[in-house]
Amino acid sequence: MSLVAIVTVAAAARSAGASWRAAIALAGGFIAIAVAKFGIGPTALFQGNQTDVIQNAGGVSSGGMVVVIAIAVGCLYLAAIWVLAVLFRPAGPPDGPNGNAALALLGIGLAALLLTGIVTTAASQYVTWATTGLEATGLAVALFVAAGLVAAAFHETSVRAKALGHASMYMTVLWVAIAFLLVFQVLWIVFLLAIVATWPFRSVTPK
Amino acid sequence: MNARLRLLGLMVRPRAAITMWTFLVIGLARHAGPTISADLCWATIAVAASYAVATSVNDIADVEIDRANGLRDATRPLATGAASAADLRCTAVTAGVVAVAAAIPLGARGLVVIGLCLAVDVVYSATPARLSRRWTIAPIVLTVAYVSLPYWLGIVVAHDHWRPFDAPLLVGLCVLFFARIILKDVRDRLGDASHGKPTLLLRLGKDATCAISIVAALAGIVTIVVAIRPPVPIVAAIALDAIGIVWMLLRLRVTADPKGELVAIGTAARAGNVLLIAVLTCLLLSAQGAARAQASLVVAVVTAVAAVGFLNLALRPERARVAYKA
Repeated sequence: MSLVAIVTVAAAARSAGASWRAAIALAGGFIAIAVAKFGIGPTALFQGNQTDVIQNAGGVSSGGMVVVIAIAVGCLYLAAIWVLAVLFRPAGPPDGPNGNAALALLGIGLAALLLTGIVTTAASQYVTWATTGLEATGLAVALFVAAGLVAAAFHETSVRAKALGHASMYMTVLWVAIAFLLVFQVLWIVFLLAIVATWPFRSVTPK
Repeated sequence: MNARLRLLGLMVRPRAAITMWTFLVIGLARHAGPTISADLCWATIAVAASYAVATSVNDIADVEIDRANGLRDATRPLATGAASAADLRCTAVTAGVVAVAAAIPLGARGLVVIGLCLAVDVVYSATPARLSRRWTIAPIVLTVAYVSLPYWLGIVVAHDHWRPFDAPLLVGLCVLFFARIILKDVRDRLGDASHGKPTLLLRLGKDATCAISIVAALAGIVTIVVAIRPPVPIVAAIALDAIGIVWMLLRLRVTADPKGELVAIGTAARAGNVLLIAVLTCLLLSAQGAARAQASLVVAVVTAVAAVGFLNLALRPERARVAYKA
């Protein structure tokens, strides 16, 4: 997964105009995020779940809960992609993400946390575990490394917002695809065909 | 040697070959589910090589028409002068040998299917049959070559036989593909007309061709849905694809700008490809015992991602780049 992340992010950043050096540093940043997301985060949830049972909201069964969580996470991903695509566009100088985009992301995150908190305590439990103890230290280190690498990647470049937006969008879609692949390996056929069907975005084949 | 291999790779034309491969995999998924085997690799090579035969023979037969239509990109080496007719004949023979060799591990039935593919490739373009000049038969022959034979090869790869449930699905796929293939002549109509090549478009006119295409697309989609009986969310995703296809075909009917026509066709084809992917996902995951909700979720994600690309082209057609047209 790290290898896939390196290649995807580096290629996306490079295609957006970043230098190879910046693209590789950015890829390192995304890997640090991946470590936090797929390593430390689930570990924290697993350890917390050993002491506090996550109840099923509204009497939904375990299978139904998976679907509910998947839809919720899917909506969050769509919202994040939308924010990245629309608001992180490189505007005129000064180049870089504008404040509205950051506020929109923060608002979406808080709203999701509050809405989830109405039906289940799982989200607040997760936040508690992820911000206390050893896991919190690991998360902080991983995110600090990620932020440092991203900052280093774009220290002197003028295409910061564009490259960051491209890389973020590709990685977000890629994580979803990888998650599906881990459950149903045969979906490689589907994703292969989906890539061929949708890429390149602006090319059409009339015959 | 390198030049010959490069020419062979060029004549495969990956996008069209992958369309054929999609029907092969749908046939496989319908019968064996998610079976990934060496046979699938051999079948893939055989289909790709047989398609290289088709393109080579067709390019030789239609070189003047291709030049008249301005098809001078890298995928038309004969039209551009990058290769000679003798080179393409050699490529066709080589690809034919590769196709047959790759079909040997598939057994007698695999050889029969690939043999039929090669036969269709030749009689479609080459004299004396030259079915491409018969406007009523040509789209049907192409539908057989692109859809039915690869689907049959998928059944062979699954080590299974034709079953009653194949008929409605295959009919639906064929009718949907027919809706697509009768539009391929829009791009080439000037050259076709100047060289006296009769096509359905030139005989019936654009309005009638678009009407036939819309009716066939809708009929094909309904037949496919009835054949595989997917969960309601997947039916909804397929319905969205259908709406996208009809939208673009209606736009094609009223568009006079040549580039706008090609973009409308290509955009509709994208929606059609996503529809096929939804069908394939449904078949693969149901064969693997996935819950209907999980299959629906995958299709929803793929449809959502594809919708971004579709809307990007549909709402801003002026930004589109037309492939295979210099």
